[in-house]
Amino acid sequence: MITIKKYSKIITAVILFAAIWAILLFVGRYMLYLQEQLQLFQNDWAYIIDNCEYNTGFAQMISEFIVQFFYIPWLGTMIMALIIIATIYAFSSIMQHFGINRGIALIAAIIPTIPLLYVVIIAEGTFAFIQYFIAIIATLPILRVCDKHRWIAAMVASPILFWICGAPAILLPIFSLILAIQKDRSLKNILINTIPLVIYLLFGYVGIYCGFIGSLNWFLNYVTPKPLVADLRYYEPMVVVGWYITPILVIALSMCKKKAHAIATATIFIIGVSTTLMCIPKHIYSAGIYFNTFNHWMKLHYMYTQGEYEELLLLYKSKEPTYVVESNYINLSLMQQGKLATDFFKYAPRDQYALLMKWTDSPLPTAYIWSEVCRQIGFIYKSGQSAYEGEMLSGPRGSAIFTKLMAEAEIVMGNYEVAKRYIEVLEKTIFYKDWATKQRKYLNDQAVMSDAYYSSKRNCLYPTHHLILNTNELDMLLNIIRKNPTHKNSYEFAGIMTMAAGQLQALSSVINIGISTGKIKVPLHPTFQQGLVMAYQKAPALYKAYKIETSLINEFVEYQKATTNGSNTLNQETIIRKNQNRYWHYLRTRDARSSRAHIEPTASQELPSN
Amino acid sequence: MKPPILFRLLFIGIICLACNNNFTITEQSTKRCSIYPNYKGITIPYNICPLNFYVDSVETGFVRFESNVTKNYIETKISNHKIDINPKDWSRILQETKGNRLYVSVVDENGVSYQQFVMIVANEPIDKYVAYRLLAPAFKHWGEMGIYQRDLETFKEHTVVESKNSEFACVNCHSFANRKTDQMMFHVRMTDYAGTYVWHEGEMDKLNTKTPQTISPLVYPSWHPSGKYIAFSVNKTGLTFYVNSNNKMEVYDSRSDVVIYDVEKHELITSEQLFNKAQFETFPSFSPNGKQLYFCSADTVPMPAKYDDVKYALCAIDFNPETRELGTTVDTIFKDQRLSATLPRISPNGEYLLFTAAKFGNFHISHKSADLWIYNMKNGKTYNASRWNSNDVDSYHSWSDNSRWVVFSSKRDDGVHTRLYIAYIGEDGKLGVPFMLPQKDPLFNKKFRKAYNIPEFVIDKIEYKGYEIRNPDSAIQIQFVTDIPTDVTSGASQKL
Repeated sequence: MITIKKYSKIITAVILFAAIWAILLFVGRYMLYLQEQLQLFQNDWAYIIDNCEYNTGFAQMISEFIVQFFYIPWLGTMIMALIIIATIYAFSSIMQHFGINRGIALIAAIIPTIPLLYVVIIAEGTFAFIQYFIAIIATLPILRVCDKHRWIAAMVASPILFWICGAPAILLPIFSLILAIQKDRSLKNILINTIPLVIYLLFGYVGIYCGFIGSLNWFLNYVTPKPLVADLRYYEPMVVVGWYITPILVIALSMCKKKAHAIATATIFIIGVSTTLMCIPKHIYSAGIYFNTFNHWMKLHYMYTQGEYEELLLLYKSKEPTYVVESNYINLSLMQQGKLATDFFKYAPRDQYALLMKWTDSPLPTAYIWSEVCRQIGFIYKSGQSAYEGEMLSGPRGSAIFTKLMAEAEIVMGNYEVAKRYIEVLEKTIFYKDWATKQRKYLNDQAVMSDAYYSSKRNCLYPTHHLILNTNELDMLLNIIRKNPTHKNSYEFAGIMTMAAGQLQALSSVINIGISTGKIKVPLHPTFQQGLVMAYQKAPALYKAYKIETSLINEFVEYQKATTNGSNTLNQETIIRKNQNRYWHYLRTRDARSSRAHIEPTASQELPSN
Repeated sequence: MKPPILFRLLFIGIICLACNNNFTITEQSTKRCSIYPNYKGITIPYNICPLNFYVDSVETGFVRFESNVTKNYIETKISNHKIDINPKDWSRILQETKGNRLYVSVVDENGVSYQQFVMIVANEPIDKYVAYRLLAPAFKHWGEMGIYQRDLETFKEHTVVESKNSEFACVNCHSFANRKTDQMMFHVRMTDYAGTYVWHEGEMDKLNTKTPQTISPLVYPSWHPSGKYIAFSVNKTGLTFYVNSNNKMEVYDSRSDVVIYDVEKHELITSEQLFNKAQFETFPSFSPNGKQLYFCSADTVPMPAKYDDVKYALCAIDFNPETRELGTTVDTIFKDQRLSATLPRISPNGEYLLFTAAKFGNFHISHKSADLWIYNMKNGKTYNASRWNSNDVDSYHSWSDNSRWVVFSSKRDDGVHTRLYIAYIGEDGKLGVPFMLPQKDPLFNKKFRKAYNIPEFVIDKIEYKGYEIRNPDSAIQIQFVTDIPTDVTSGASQKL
């Protein structure tokens, strides 16, 4: 018992750490991975200096430094959990400094952590959290300065802290003020201490921009001048209440002689719990629509980018994809495995958007999917362009994954100087460095053409000055097929795209152009044979020319009979079920399915964008 | 116990002596060294900031700059392949070498000197500042952008206005009257801050420049030398991309006109010749005496279907600033069916008209074929400024106050990121080799991922503070006051 008491602090900390780590790891890892995908921390002096030059840049840099570790979920979440624990204990320690009981202080620090976790995971607010973290860590030692010098130390440190971490730095002068008043509660002392603080915050140079007025800017929706005030967009108001108001009230009330602790405790629970409760309506909404949906998309993104194609496809073994985003990741995985034509109709596609979703201004998933699909089908220019759009939408610092896609596109297109620039950026990262260094050897035509991957993409380029606006997307694909018929994904994508859209005439064009290159031979892929079975229903003589399997023709005839017959017999149902993965069944049910295809989650409006 | 002060000073002195570089050339080599930016053979003004560069093949050593007039020289060490020239020494050696040559020797750590190269120091100074926009070489989305002013005698850069001052709107088309900053303007597109901002007599006017008669708000500007007028184009602009071309994207006009804005009366005037439905008129530019308005004009074609058939010619029309009357005839200055000419800019001394020409269209900043061309106003001859041009895009340009320097944008560095180049034209019309805008860190442009855009020389510092636009006050509505017959107009009232 004595031993447990002796180690109670450590045990409490370990339990707290484990709980927070578990929440981050099991609930938030894909959302945290999303944050990593949209950052570009660089181990470079120029990057560091550039960050320190503007208000909150230092906090931004630290946050990006931490976010890059979300690339490895267990490591990133562990680091984040440690920082959260450090913040809780630092906050608790600050409150103990005001004479508050350790247990109450700890609870007062833990309660606001609950909405904070929400901010970190769902609102992608690691940056916002790091601002708090820095402010609290910096406040703690200054409060321990002796009474005589504390006020001056706080006044000197505050502007620097404002510069480093923005608005949360306001905690330092306010805590210092309360501490000064706590020692001597005479009106004179209160005025002596309060008036300079108010003047300081209102009229001080840094205070004007970063403190009181800066915070007001957010509420009044004013645009902030350079230097920027801390960007409060990421803060949930209840978290602001939780972190600012709770501790200040607790401390203030604890100064009362009578029933101080009772009032303090009540305050903690009223404000702390209410801030948490305030999260619930929004949380239900988010958890129901935004979080569940987006978290799942990010899970698919994580699996795809980590090469877990088989595992990704297994998720849909027994369920249908709900959104086109899911279908896009499924089909990208199929393309990676060279099985697009084989398995496309197996995964309940709805229409051609299952191959490539409509453009929305979000870096993830839209820009990434566009860039990746275009890369897969050899439309390299568009891949690079989409990656650049994603880069622009990712935020002021850019994104490692988009920079990677841009580098690859420029290598394929032979723009080596630009590719080198992107490679140099990636070489300053931890997790993309190796890939970038490997690409250096491809910065010349000879190396590109002697590499199987790059040469296959280079061979897809065809010279043209046509504008996209004036060009049919199928024509673009047909040009790629003509130029490089061995590029399997281009040919299969074109064929599947026409089939998914029900354009059988266009399918014939794709196949005939493929055959005319001499690289595509009959008999064709069974899926394309199914398309031709339907395309040439009225000219069955062509079945022979394309060497279409008789069994497929018979299956189609049997299916036709079963579906045109008015009465539903068991035998008919069996035939229809047998044809679930056949193209004719897809075409017959396509209209009903495609009406669902365009259903997008309403929360997609909230997708992170610039 | 601390050592005595004298002893410490002595120690520091010894260290300093030990560190003092003993620069000697032991051997002359015929080998050439590669430097970045390439400053070999360039012509420079005597008031330019130090031209720091990166030497590819020499990690440590030194560089000697020797005046061929006084034979004085300055030396600066190469550290980690880079030089960082002392600004005072640099300024002194340039002053001494005015109108002559500066010989540059790159010497490696063994005292072996690479083949010398020269920099020609012109007699004429360059304007102290250049203003430009910085933005990502983007497609649809641009992230952050801003307009900045760079001191050419130092490396200092000041912010004029940034997109973050206006909720990340697009800030563009900064323009100055006579290269002075007491009268300037820029546009803000999108967000609540959208409008044209005109800094005039110490006050900022925010204008709503869309009128029922014009097809768009005001676009490409040119100040009248009196500061009383600004000529603008109005453009119905489209943006699209290439299927597969290094030109990457195409910006085209499906309709355009030219109008003149009266700064004091807030009125728009134009004429049938500038507002013609049979023509695309754009890129206006006043002559230095203010009596002519130059502009570009092309026959209309269906857009964007025939985007590569559009060939702009350079034209001019008379303008009377006293009566606000425009002439009735249009002179064609340059027309070539193989080229599309844009961005006419006349030197302040009125001797040369500099323009950009490419195979088609008007958005030459994304046309690899874009080159700078010169029209000699005295003899009427037009020629390619081949000494200034490259295989890549060479486009937007501006003249210095003394008509001896031109700053233009070029993508020659890597094909994507536009950089600024400064070029010299002598009294005799001879062109100097241009040089890239110098940076303190010579590798800056290799790392910097934004592009320079619309460089404009300015002779004084811009006092306007960007955040002054943060309160989106109501804008002044400008009025279109010219009567144009509807069978002629291509304005908004005319449905095409």
